[in-house]
Amino acid sequence: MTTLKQMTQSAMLGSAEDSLLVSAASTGMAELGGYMPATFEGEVTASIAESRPQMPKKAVGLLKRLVAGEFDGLLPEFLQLSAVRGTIAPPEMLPALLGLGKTDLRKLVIPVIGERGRWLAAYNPAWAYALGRDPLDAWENGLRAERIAALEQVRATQPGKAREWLQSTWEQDSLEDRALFLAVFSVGLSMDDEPFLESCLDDRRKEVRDAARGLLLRLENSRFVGRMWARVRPLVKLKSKFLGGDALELSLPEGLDLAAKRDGLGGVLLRKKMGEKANLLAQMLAFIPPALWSRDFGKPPEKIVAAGLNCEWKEPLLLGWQLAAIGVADEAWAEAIAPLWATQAEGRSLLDVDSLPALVRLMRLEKVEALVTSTIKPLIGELDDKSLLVSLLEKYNRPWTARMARMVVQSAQRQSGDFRANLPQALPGFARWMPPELADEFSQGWAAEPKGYWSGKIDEFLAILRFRNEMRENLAFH
Amino acid sequence: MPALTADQVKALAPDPASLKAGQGLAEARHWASLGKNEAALWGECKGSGQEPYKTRVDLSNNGTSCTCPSRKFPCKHALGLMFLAAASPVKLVDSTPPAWVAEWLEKRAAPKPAPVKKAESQSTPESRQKDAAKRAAKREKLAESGLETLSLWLKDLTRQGLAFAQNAPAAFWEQQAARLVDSQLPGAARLVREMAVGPGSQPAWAETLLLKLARLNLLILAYRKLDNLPAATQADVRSLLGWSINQDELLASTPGISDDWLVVAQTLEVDEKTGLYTQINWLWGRQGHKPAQIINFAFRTQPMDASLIPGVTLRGELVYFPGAFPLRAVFKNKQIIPAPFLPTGSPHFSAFLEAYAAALGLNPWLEVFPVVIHGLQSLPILEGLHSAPQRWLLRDSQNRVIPISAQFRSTWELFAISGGGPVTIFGLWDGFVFLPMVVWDGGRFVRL
Repeated sequence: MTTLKQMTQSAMLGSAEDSLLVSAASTGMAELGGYMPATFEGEVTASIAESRPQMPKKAVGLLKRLVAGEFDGLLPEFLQLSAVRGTIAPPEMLPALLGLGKTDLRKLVIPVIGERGRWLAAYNPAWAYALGRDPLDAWENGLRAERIAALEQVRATQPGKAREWLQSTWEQDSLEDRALFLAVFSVGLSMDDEPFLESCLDDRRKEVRDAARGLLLRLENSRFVGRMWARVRPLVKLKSKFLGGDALELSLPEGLDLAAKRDGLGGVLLRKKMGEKANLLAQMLAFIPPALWSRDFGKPPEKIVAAGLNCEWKEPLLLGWQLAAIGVADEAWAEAIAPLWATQAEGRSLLDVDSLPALVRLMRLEKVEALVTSTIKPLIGELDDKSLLVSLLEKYNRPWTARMARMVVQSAQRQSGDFRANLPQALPGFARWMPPELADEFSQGWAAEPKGYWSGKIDEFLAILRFRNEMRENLAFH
Repeated sequence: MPALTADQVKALAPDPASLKAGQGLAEARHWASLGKNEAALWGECKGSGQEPYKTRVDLSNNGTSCTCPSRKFPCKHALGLMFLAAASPVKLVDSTPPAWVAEWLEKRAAPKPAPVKKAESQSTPESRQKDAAKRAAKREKLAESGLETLSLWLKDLTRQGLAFAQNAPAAFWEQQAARLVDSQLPGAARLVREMAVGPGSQPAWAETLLLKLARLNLLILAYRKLDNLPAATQADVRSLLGWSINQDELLASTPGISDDWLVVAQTLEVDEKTGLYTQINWLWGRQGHKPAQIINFAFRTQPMDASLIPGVTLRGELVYFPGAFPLRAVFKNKQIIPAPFLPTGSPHFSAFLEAYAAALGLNPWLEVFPVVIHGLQSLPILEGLHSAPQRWLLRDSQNRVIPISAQFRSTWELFAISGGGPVTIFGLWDGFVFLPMVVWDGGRFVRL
């Protein structure tokens, strides 16, 4: 008997036979009706049972909206809450979650995928990072992302062992990978790493040298920091003046030797409008932990910063200190420098805008709150668009206290009848960091008919806060 | 009454702008009053006018009404109210509905008056019948000549060979489809248009196309000897060609089938040219274990039936359109009930394939066969050790496999769900491949 396939072949080039379609119909029907499924040879191992409960149904609904792209930026918070609660995502969400693993969400995804997620990851090479294999196996046989994760895992508990692993494959690893692996050392960093990091300063790749310098900067006793301080210290004098506080006197560095070039000095200008020597000074300062200044001169950061503002070379000084404070994550120095942005016109012009968010994020919450308290005075000093406090708060990106949130929202409510440019714009961003249980409280008290941008932005602000509150309520312990 | 989930409310939004506006209104501060009871939700939404808009939702069928002037349906206020109820039900105070809600609900519950026949004072019943018969005869004639041309077109195409179809310009199909529309054969026109999508797009396109041509040819032959066919087949042939059925007459003349009907799947297609939305719903009966298809059409901003949401159970009477293997149906009456269930279907492939063969014997033009199958597992077919799966199969309890359609997008999701053990799936079988639409993970209904 002719099959539909054979008929199709003869029909490809044309047929004069009138009955072709008639017989194709009967053959086709017979084949469709007589379909015989094949027998499957082989086995698929089923996933093992879950030890943890699935997240509540309502939480799944919220997760779906986040994965679909709503409320950009809230997914990490959701995943953290779910991990703390110990719940896992339902299976239909796993492919989307595993797909997020290309980004830095990887670490947050792994705790919520459960046994099913690990089982599923084995079928797609792109998800190998979630397999949960033995770190050494992952380090030796995994792809880049998986290797970094394994190194991080070991580094957290056995920093020396992580260094040994890295050194054991250093020569074979690609130059791109080296810098990424080195970044893992920021956890558990100690003087034990110093000799290896010092040797990295001779690496062929700039990214590796830069990464090594960033780490050595955080080791006050490293040879690298010692060399840098020795270059700068002779140039500085702190003079006490009778009036107007202290002043720093400074002479600019002269020339560069080979050792200075090896230490990364003299490269690209940090700021184009500063002279070459001023740039060189700022570069040097950026590689000196600011704590050395406080210790050496026996004064708190605020005093030294104030003295620096009285210096002829305040521009390279402030810039260098800012970058150094970020480099070593020095809270006290960040708190001495960052508020200048909101409170002092001259200081503001000296700061580096691009790295300002990193500086502001270092501030402790009570300091930010104090700044807010001192700025907002109902009807005299509001959080309006003339205040740079809004732009500073926008950069903070860390959880707020209820008190600070109330001050800011109440100030915004007092102004919601007016046209203001940057406060309404900033509100939705603030909603990411305020305590979400205030959602109900904050939905009251706005002007009956807010003007301009306000109405839409208030809705957005409240929607984000409410969504976060729902996340918490649906993922909280009951 | 079951409260809708945010997901389900989303499905009711007529367009993205309404969805966004509705989500914005899901804030208590926009509402002067909010209330609910077993049967309804209501609220007064502060708008730009003096008077707040009065918004109400009938929970037995998700019907909405609002005093706002919007022509969108549901309007953003109704969506906002439903979103608010889904997210924070406590904001809607349980209370006795105010008069403006109670009266509206009463009016909705009252049986609709029978459609009043338009008074045609000029003509007597006899002359109207005559006119209708004349019009029908004229259409038959038009159809005959349209099918004559179609028959010649089919012959030409088979003479030229299917290889020609692979490179045929879009106009080749479109012109023939347009001619059929002119002959008042929109159904046949659709069958021709659908042929244009196939050629070259998939490995077995030529076989699929030959089968489509053969089925269309069979349809022409069937129409030519329509009078000799059983009544049910006559109905199939006529509806496939494009004669529509008067739903009011159908409902009035046919007894319904009572059951609980689970809305298992829904697809929505929009014709960009005309703005016509076609919504296809697949239902499954709890007692009768039978599928039903409900097709709704609407132009932009017109309301779709808001009670048809996947996962929702409707209790009511359904009337099937006449046909040898009836699928398409329309509700006589229905009400949303909070009782989802796991449908009973075929235990394995051979059971469903047997049913499919029988259905095909009754209606050789059956395009898709809706089916619930239990005990399935999805399987990835890996071509290499370190590669992602290339093809996907479904395996039943007897270790038989059928291929999953290449059109299916949620292969990984289905695999993730079935990884824990055998699952129940609803989907469509077209004779070659299976398109999964819904899976039950334990008792949980998951749309794919």
